[in-house]
Amino acid sequence: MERRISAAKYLLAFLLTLLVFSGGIIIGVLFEAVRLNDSRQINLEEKANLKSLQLQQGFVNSGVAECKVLNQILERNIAELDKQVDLILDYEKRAVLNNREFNLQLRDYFLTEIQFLVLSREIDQECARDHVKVLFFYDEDKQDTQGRILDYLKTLFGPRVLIFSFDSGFNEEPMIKLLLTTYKINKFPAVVVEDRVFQGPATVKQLLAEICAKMPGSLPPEC
Amino acid sequence: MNITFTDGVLFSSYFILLFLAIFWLLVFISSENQPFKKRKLAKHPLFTAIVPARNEQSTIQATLQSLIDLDYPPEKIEIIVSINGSSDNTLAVVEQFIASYPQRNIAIINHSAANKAGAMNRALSLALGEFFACLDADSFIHSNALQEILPYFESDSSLAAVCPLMKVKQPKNILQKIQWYEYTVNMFYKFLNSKLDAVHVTPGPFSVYKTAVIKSLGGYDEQTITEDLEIAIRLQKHHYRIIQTFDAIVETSAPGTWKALFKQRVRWYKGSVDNSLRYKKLIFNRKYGDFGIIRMPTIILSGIIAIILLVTFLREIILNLFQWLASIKAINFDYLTVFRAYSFQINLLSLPIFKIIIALTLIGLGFVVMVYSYKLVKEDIRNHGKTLLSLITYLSIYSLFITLVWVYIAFLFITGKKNRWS
Repeated sequence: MERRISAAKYLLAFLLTLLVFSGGIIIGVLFEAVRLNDSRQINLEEKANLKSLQLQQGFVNSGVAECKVLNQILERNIAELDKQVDLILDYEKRAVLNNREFNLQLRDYFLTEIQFLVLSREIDQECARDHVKVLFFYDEDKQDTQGRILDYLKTLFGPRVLIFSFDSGFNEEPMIKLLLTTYKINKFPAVVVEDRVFQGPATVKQLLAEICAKMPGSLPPEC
Repeated sequence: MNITFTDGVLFSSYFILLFLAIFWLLVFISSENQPFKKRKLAKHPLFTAIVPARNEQSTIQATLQSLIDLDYPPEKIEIIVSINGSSDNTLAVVEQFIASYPQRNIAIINHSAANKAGAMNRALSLALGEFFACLDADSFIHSNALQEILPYFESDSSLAAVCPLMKVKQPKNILQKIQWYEYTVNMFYKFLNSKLDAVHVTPGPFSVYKTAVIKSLGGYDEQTITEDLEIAIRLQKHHYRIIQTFDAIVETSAPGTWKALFKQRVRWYKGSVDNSLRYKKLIFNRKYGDFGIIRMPTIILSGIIAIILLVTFLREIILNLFQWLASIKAINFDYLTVFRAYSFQINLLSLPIFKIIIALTLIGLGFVVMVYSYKLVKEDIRNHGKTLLSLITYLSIYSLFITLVWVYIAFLFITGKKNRWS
């Protein structure tokens, strides 16, 4: 007895499944374009913030701009910058077609961050420093808790700690390698508290002690 | 973009699940192989009802009563109660029942067969009916069953078995209500299988068989733990037809505790795996049509995919849990500071769009299946109360429960241990 095979239905089901999958991929690609646009927007906003801060720094000596306000704006900009890096990194990981463009956006972001770092040091020369700068070099391929520790310390100290995060393996931007060479860093994660370097994971206790030691002015309750 | 091994496994599983869901939807909307139009029974052949029983004193009387109440000439029904090794008063109850219906043809055979298949074979050897069915002693058949089922045999000489619509009898708690949902959805799939001539199981309660066919195949296999599935595959192997009907209803008791349900499902699914492996030559075999191409492979495939998805899901949860614990430990368990500073933010652009689309498609298809299942069996989903809680439990926890059954079965296979509930 010949048994029936629903070949047409198998084929149609396969094609429809491919269609749904393709639809998902196409929508994913469209979202990637939107993410790229969002990355560009983020970078534009950060650049605008940087330029604004640079201009305000220029007005400090003439007394038009106050150091206190300048430091507050600096802290706010750095905090905002720190929030956006996770977003841009996330977009870059999801990229399928626009890897190069996302890498450029990430490079642009890191450059803006370095410019903020340089600007903050210039501001320190004109205004009394009221915060501690922390540089954090992480390794994307390693799962560690250093970032979480720094987030925690940021929560504790608020505007008194400024954190600048860099992907140590981001070879597309030579400035990061330059910073690593400057601080003689070859082990990750690495944290630099003002000029003190911690290579390898550093505990809350170690970093807290160093931050408090480097904190200018009145010590916060956490110290 | 990094595509991990986990992503690859998940996407493959999604693809297969989506393919199967779309395929069965196409079968559903297809106008081919529609069930034949009902007609009145032309003849009244002799029918044998076999009631295998072991320690069923509390329910067997109602079961026998439902057979007595069948809308069918009484002289054309013989009932054989096959009692194997009862230690309670089952025998006495049956004898009392027979005494109250002296004009009816009811026989008892008392033996020591090891299992239900053995009990049925003993009864089958004595059966005179042209057709027979087994009715478990905790199941109850509606009176119109034979009037609905037997006409199918008159119109198709290759038909060997007709399965009734199975329902859970009066679900009393949430677990039984969940099984009521499950049986209803399963009936929908049986309907689709029937359209493709790909029914893989003739459920124990009142599937009606052509006696000569079953006897020619040697009766039930006494070595398997799921004789109803084994006989169905054997019928398919010999190219007999099996169909599903929805007008003959049998109600059966469902386990009321998770432990009892777990034991039942281990037996069912282990039995299905054992028989799939035993009849592995039918898998993807074109000679058996759609039964070989799609039904046989998916008996085990559903379990494999369930295990893969569970392992992947658990792996992600465990990894994230370890990372979270490591993070909390790193900040000296000062989670209060973290909690106070926490602000919920969601970025729509960071959502896994592709996975969401697949999940929504599967959920949508699942919803369609649920709606049509209830239309098919002519039930209201709100029957028997506790609708929302039991529905949520069915859609969430129950799937996990069934997956755990499959995990246990995989464990039995890997370790070679025997199922202690067979």
